[in-house]
Amino acid sequence: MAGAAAALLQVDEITISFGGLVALDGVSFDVREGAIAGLIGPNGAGKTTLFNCITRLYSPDRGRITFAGQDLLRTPAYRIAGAGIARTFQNLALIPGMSVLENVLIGAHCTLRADPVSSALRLPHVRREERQARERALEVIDYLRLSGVRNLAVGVLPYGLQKRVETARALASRPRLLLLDEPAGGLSHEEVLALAHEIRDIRDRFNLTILLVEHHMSLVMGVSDQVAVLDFGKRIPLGTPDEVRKDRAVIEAYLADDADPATEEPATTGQAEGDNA
Amino acid sequence: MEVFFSQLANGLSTGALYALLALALVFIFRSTDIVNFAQGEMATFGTYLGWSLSRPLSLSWIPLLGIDRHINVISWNPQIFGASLSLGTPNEGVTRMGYIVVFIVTVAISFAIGAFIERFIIRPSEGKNLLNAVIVTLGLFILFNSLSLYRYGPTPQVYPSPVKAATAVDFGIFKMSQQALFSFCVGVVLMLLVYWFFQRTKLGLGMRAAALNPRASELMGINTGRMLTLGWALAAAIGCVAGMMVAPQVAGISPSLMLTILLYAFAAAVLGGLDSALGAVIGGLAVGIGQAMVVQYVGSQWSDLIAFGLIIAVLMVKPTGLFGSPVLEKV
Amino acid sequence: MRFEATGSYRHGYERFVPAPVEMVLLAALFIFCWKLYGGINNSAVAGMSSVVIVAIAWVLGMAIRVATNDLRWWLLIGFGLAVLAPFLAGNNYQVGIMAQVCVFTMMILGLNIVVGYTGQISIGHGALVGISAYFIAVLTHYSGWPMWPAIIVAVFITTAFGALLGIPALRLAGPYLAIATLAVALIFPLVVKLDQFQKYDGGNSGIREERITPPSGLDSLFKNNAPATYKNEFAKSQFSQQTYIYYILLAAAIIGTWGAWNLTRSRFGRAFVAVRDSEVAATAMGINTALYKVMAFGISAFYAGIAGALFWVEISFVSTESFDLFNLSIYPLAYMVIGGLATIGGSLLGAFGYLWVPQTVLKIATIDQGFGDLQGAITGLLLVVFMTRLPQGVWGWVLGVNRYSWRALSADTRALAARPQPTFWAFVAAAIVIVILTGAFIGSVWSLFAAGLFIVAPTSAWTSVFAPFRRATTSLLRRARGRPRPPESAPADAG
Ligand SMILES: Nc1ncnc2c1ncn2[C@@H]1O[C@H](COP(=O)(O)OP(=O)(O)OP(=O)(O)O)[C@@H](O)[C@H]1O
Ligand SMILES: [Mg+2]
Repeated sequence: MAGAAAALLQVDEITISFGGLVALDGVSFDVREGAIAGLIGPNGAGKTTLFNCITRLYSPDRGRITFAGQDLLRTPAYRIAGAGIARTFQNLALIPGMSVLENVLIGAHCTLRADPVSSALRLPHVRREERQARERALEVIDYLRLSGVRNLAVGVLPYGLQKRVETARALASRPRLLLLDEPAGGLSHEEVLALAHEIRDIRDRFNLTILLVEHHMSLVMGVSDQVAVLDFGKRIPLGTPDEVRKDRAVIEAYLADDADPATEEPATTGQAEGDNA
Repeated sequence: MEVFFSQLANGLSTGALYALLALALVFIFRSTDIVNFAQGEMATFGTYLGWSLSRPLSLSWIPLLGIDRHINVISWNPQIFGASLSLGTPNEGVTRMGYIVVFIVTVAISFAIGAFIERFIIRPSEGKNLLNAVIVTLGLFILFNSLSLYRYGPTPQVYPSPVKAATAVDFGIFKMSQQALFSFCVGVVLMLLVYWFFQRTKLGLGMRAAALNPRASELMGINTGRMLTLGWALAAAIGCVAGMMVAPQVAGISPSLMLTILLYAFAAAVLGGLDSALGAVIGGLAVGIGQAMVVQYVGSQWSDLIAFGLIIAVLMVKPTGLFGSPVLEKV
Repeated sequence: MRFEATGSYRHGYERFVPAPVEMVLLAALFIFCWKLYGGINNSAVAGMSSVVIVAIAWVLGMAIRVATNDLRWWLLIGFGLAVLAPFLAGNNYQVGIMAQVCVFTMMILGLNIVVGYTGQISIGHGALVGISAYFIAVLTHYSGWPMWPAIIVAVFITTAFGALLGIPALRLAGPYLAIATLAVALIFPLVVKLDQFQKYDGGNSGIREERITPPSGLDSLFKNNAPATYKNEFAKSQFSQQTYIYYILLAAAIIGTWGAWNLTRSRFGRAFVAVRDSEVAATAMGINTALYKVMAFGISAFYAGIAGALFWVEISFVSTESFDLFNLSIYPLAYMVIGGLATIGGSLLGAFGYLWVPQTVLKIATIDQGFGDLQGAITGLLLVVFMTRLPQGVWGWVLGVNRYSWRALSADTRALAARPQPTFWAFVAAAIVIVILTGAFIGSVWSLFAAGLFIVAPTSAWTSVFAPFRRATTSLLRRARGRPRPPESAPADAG
């Protein structure tokens, strides 16, 4: 496993439950600076919940999350973006009535400093800041090939484009860590292949660390430097894609459904736990 | 002491009316998540319809057309075998039999108006955000208020009552006007009817199911759309009954008849929890008694102030009221 | 599709219906019309001629629309008219109304920031305007302060109070917040009227002060240029005072509009909309939703505070009657929605409608008694129709419909001639029949009203109002012809 010193994000024994349902049960892993980390697991495994914990939309019952030395659980949700973590949403959380450009500018919100009074008076420094933000937003839009639709309302765009707008919005906040929740959802086969390339390119170009949740195994395995597997709230192994692929617990817990439809019984948590220990 | 008990009785009586109107609010809130600001004005308009029905048969029966404000009221008194067909005469007012007929017809019309509003005005804005719905009911509020004013004018009109409204009944330890007693009884009977309807009838159960979980009940074969319409219709009908009970107790029916009463009903509904029928009833009675006591012992100018202050206080401290269920949030 | 409408409209023939911008002109025509009809006793003739007048207005409206399809022209024209208004208006009353438009421009702008942009409903804004006006009144009248410092203090207090009003918004969603703010609006006059406060705030009788007077230089300037309708010296000095006050208010309203325009196009405007549309996304983008809600209420209360100050400058009289629920909380909200939620232009239109619709209704009521009572019904009806059918408001039409060129228009005309649209012509025929019928049977005013309704509501409104009906008819026709039903297409108005 990566050395703790180089870890940008440390998730430590995170536990959260909703009513009786334990969605995350003592999950911990590290993400190295500059890495692309994959997070996989069957539906309902708690991947999105983990994202929500990191971005503080949920508050875990126990555990610690540290990002670049900062204790995230002491950081309110609206400070997360400013701290350098941006995310996309599995079910899209765009502002449908706003144009693509405006949505991306919302992403840049945490990089702007103007106060209401000088904004209302449109003082020179506000104008300068606004112009710079716009330029940067246009750059990101250009990079993600959204220039053609930048003045259209997001609501009228097809799903695939909307996902890209979300990525653009996340990038506009100049994050250090980018959380992507199922970026391949709803994409065609070719698009997924292109996406793998794109994710790496984003990492290199914007100097990012990426945490990627995906069901698409070949994408995750192809693109990630390290992979963590969640199975109903428990983390099974963490390692390189190759190690993970060989792990019996993973195969049983997760891949079994895909790889071997004949498997009668789904892997129980108990088994996975035993194997893990 | 007699004063105290009389105030208590009066408080219970007005409280029952607040409870009725609050109940109407709760029906609508539970089924459509909408707070119906127009509830009181709809009731006023319905009550006016009842009033014009209890008048001699004339063009004034035709609702909405402001004819009698422009030409003299043409009225006649058609008779069959010497018996008047009109429900009321200008001089003697409506007969007891006539009152019951007027009551039933008015409630039926209000029921239809409520259904109409849900189907053609509320439903198109459904599913958009809640702000739209609130504003639509505010629009209905202005609309009905102004229609009542236009159609029936600002002067209060005497509303008939089957009992000798002003005469007091002496119960020994307290006194109560006949009308207050009558409206209390009607209120209680109506609440029992509502209880029976929702607990014991299939339709009532269907409505509860549709309000609780529209998706699932749709799958169970319940026509949720129709249930929502029915909810609005029932609410309008109940509100109208409240209106007909209030009118004889105040100076008469005027376009602002239900304005303050609606606000007290809001206080009642908020106190009890906007989504709890039981809460509405208890809240209504509590607000009614509280108002009577404040008027008696603190001063009448404080009564409105305290009621509206109560709304804010409850919403700030416990938005779901005493009996409401907590609002679930989903991310 | 043959017609490429620029807005969210599907049918080409919307272009043939004048857009709201031309309504100003049409409204003027209307006023002219009913003056004309005042003398006509034969209602059928009145009905017929109203059809003719409406047709003329229609064609004129089209011409105007094509000639000026740049919004900036309208801005310039509007500005010019606003500046010249006192000299164009025939009497002080109308100048006073224009001054009130400025007052309510401020109030509705603020209201729109909190309701339209941030999505937090407030029915309590009347109380904020009232608090500001009352503070100024009490400070100047009882404490003997000069007016301007009193205004500054009052606006600050109102802003703080508004921010407090925002705190319930942190806990309460939609309907609950509506009730809470409604309660605030109701409490305000009651508190003022309390016996205990009588000696501080004048109780029921309110507070009156002298209105401000113009400095002598301006005074003589205004007096010398007063329109000819002001005959004697007294009338002229009245005019001078009213005009001076109007210009102060106009300047404030213009600055306020400019500020609101800037603010809504800054990071704050975007954040407000984000808070309204998706709190989760807003939070994830680093927006402190609680802070921004309170801030929206604060900014909005600042505007309401200014509105209260302008209110005081304009009439120098406050009483609880001036701040009642309908007049200061519900109607401004209604006209804001009719004007257009979350738009600056909509707020301006809203302020205009708030004052001029009742004025027009009152004018009509001088002929048709009782009509005045319908003012609320008209407002309520407009509100319901807009909210359910055209939630983008009048301003939405201006942006959606008012983009024309001669070429597009003539192409549309040719297309319409080549492939007549039955709905359109049925609509025109129905309009004519209804106008004549109302003229013949109810009265000329009603016929004008009906005609106005048909003009003012663009076809898009009517088509969506009648959409279910139309769908039913077409499917019936189709069934009669034995053709299968095509798959359901997109809804008529995608707004
Ligand atoms: N706010 C909540 N309240 C109650 N239960 C929740 C909540 N959020 C998540 N859960 C539950 O936690 C579990 C994990 O959900 P989560 O969305 O994290 O899964 P996931 O791994 O992202 O699945 P998918 O692949 O379908 O996106 C699920 O059973 C879900 O129902
Ligand atoms: Mg998920």
